[in-house]
Amino acid sequence: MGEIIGKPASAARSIEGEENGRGGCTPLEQRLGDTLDVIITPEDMEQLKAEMQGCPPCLEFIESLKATVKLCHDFGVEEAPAPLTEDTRSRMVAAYEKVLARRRNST
Amino acid sequence: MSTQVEAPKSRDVELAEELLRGNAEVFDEFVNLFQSKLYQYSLMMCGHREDAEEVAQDTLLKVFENFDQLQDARNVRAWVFRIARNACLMKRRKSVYAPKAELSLEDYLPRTEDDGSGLRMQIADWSRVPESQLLQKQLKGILAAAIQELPEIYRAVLLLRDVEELNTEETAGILDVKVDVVKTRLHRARLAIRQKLDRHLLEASATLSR
Repeated sequence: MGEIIGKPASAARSIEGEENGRGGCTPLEQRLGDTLDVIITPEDMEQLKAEMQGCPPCLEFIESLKATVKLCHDFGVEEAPAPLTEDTRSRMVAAYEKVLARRRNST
Repeated sequence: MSTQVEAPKSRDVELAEELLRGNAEVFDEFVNLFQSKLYQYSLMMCGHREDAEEVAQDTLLKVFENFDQLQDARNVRAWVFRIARNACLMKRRKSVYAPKAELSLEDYLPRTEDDGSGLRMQIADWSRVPESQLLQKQLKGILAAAIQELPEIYRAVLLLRDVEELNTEETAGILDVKVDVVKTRLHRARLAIRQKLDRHLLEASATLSR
């Protein structure tokens, strides 16, 4: 189990603005959403990437955000819905047939 | 002259095209495919199995009642989820299971601490997350709970964009909001979910290091 989780808590990183000499990462954090959703221009993106190269915790933060999005993409509830009852299915079929008939009559 | 390569059609689009042509043979496949998607979305939005099953069925019935209103099969997912979203809102108004109050998103966003040496935010080690199936399973449970705890406006965006993988414009259309609103809410929702998962990873690491 220990091997799965990875490093102990003592190895947790922190984003420390003063330490990396860039005056804090909060603006960077706000801009991350833009990079993930392609709001910013390619030029800004390049500049952002260059800024982040000197900030390993920022890069780790981005990786964790990307991992979050990937987990969401892969997400699926385990339980399946109950199958439709025959009555419900029949109502749906009837509704669909009614639409087809309406279309046939209108052409 | 550049030739534009058309992206391959997804199965839901193919099925919608067939149904629009009047091919009822694909009816059950369409129903099964969308029932699962709609059930998942409704379960995460309504939070209760019975409500989710009803919403999925009501949505499918409305879909077939209005199938001739689907102008372009390529929009089928966005169109179906728009109907589902309205069905969910109706259900939540009436349901005995609907929550009486919602927590604020601020409870989930990353916290920065100022200990005198500058702003600080702790980040767990995520480097091995994608490798481990067991951890993925644990995280899946945490993720489901985290999504369900998000305030509704953020939850809807996250489910449509990141879980159902609809695009920003489609999501904005379904939710009747501007594209920028979708982007902002999505960003905040992702941060909140990341924070929940991060907290879990930090706690798990702390337990192991004892």
